Amino acid sequence: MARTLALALLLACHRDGRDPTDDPTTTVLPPDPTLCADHPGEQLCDGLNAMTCSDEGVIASVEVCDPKATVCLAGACESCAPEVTIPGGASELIVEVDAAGPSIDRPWRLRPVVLPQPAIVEVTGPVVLLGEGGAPIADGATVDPGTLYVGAAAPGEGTVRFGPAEGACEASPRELPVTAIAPPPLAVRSLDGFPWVEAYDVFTSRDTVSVDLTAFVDRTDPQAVAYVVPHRDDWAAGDALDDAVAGPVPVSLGEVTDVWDDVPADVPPLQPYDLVVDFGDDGTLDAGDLLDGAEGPALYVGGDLTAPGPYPVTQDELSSGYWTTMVVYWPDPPTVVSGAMPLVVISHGNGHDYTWYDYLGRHFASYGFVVISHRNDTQPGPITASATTRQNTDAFLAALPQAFGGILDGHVDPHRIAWIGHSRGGEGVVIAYNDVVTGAERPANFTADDIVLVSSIAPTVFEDPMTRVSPHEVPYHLIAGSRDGDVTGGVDLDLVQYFRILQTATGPTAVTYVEGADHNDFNCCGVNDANFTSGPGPIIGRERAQQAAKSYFLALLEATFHGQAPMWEYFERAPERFRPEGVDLVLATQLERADGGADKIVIDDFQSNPDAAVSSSGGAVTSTLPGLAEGVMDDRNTQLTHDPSDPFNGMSQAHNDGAGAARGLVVQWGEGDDGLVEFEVPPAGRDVRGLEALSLRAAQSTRHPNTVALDGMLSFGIALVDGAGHVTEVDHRVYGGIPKPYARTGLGSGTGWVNEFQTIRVPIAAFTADPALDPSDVVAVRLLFGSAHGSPLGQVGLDDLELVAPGEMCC
Amino acid sequence: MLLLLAPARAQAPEIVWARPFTLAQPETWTMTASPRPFTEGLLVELRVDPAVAELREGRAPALFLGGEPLFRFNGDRVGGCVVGFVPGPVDLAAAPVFVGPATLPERLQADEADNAARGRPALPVGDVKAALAAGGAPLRAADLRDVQREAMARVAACSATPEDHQRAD
Repeated sequence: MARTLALALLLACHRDGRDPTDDPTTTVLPPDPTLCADHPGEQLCDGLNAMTCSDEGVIASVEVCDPKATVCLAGACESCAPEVTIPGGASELIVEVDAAGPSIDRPWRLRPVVLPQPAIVEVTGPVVLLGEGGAPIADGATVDPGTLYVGAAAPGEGTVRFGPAEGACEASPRELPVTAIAPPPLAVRSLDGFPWVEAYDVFTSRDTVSVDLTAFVDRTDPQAVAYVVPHRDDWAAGDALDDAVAGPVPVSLGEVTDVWDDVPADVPPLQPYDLVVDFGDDGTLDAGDLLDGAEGPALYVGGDLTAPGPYPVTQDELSSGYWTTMVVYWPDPPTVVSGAMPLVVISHGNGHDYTWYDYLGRHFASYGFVVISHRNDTQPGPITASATTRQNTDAFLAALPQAFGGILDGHVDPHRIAWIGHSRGGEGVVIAYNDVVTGAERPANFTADDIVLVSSIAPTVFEDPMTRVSPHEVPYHLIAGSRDGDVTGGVDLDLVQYFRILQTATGPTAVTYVEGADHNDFNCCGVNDANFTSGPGPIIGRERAQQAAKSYFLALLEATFHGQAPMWEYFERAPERFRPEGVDLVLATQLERADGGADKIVIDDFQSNPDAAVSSSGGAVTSTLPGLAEGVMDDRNTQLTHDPSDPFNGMSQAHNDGAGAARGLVVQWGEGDDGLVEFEVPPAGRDVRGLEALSLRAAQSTRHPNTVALDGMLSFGIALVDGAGHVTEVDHRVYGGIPKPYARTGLGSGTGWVNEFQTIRVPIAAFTADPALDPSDVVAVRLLFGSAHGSPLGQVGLDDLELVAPGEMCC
Repeated sequence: MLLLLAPARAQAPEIVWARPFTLAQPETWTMTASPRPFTEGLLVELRVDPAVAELREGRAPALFLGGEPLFRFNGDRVGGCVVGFVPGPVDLAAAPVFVGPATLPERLQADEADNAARGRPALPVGDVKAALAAGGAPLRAADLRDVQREAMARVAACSATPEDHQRAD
């Protein structure tokens, strides 16, 4: 009764023309009462009257819309400010930053919005608004109906406001929230655990390429598909996506979707591809789509690094004397390679022959290198060998105008030289470099700066690694096999402990340790020295060892000389998870950036502050585990037998090397002994935003009862702790574990060869995937041991705990 | 496994073939702590204990001829055939052939080598005569490459290991 009376009074007010607003000039006519008869139970508009009709077909309620700020739409009073439609139906925008400035030429960084009526537009924050033709729209400008494009020049929060154009509407502008983010990588690989994806560049046939849309929670378009297409340097609006190698694959919005699961193996190395997410599924690249590939390929297919390269190869012998006799390998004709080619010099070992390295010489030449493998004077010793390396490098460079009719003259770059030595030759190349960089030797045709890379294959260490066998700052690589029956790597002789050479390397270093390879697997024809060894571990044989050598050497040379930075991933990522095609071996790899660079923040390298409670960076180290030992990584005796009194049993990183000898930490835990070791982060490393990874080296302790009981890969938790005490933990096993020592006997009782260090590298993105972590204030790195975090028991050596920034590895 | 010292009952080295040579151009003798030029030498083929025949990377027993370590062109770990040379005029009637210190030759002082040779018996006279006769007239070599060719011909004929034949090829 009261409701009917109120409605009657309202209608009476309308019928006499009185206006419910304050403005005496605005007249709102009363609603037509007969309208509801045709629309029972509905909401209607009659002018500015928003009506609700009863089921009986009469007006149940009326709201008079404010003519200054609202209009009646579908029976409700709505703002008269311009409506904006986002294709796909979103109500907010996440846009990728275009560092070059938003442009219609790069539509993949723009989000279209449709404006159905004129509006006055304003933006806040880093947002940029472009008109239909791509011209920037000034703040406060009036724009006509049509499609506008929202972009951003920097990360951050902002808005686009659409206010009513000149006219009667005085409503507040509609605000469209915009979040601008740095373009995340779209091409990812799924992981078995948190953070569930990783965004490395290179994929092999063992991998599945997935697209990660978790950053784009604003997207609602159900017709989104993904394509993997060959990389283009010149993407443009409207480009067709008809050359895809994978797709179109429907994607799950806000999630990770597998896109390409048959990545080919038998393709040339590092084939580049891009990834496109086509919202709207129209088969072309346009605004609103996502493109990973505009600033370089989204991903690479690793390809077969053992396959011959694109260039035909010629080899011939050059000799100007007994000790300057060499085989030369080159792409034929040399003019097939643009520009002067790097020179690779191979120096053999004792009892080896300069003709035994065709497999490397021809392989490198087919990829655009000139290679010489020279007769090496190794019988006197490594110092004499080092002289031969320098002598032959000099002789070859001097001979270029005449050698082979001068065909190589002008085609060899004397400023890009790599020295690779085997065994005594492996020690020789390091001494050769040392003697040039110290000025003790002055070759005629090159300087130390021209030697860009030095690599040793199972080198001897006759001379002092702290003063003579020192790579100094040159990028240095070491490759060796665990079944070596000659330069064994064992702890019984100082001259076979080749990891000692790394102690004085201040440049970037890489190690490839090939389980089951012997000494002469790395040449064609030396004796099968694995026969001089014992143990149940597999002996891989020459062919498989050379597959590994060719792959890793090519990756090293391509990264160093041809700028193929993705090749570093073969050294950076644990081989358990990622290794070259066709290399199905157990390997341990290490990669360290140069000392003292701005791209590395050392938390603890154990080289100073010998107190285990203080890191080398001066921070506190705390532990809840007993038996923490910090010291020189030098096995106390000549045996690998487990020695409870020697936590560094099995270590061969140092041997009576005095001050500056390699030091590390050993941690032990047993069943039920969950515990932690925590390292305070130095101030320079506390803001991890912009950093790339947390890195450390780790090795299981050979023949230790815990290692024997574990009998497999070892892992532990790695966590960042922020200033508020929040802990974000990652089980590094998702990136790769720490292999058990190779099953070789000898040097006492038990099974297990020397400790194999493996670089463990956890992307910072893995930690920052936890939104609760404050990445601007990371105060500690915490290593967590025990079954709740990884392996239930173990003993592990640790070294070089550091934070790594993005940057070139070298060269 | 690698041996640092010759076994106590190792087979005594025997000489099978010997040929003096001269060089038109001086070469440098580097199997010593004091490298020096040389223009003549003696190329020999020996039979030794296979255990000491092989060229290895680490410290290994060195074969000496007189007061010099033998520069070897091969390492027959099966049959013990070793072909190598020492510089200078060599009086085979007086110069012993023996397995000596494992010192790296580039660290070998002259007195160390001389001391190692002192008191050791010379080769049997008959063996020396037969070896020199087998070697024939002195080789007049342009440089060590000619000596090496001569040596590898001997290696190809005497060695029982595939890697030696690879070297000879």
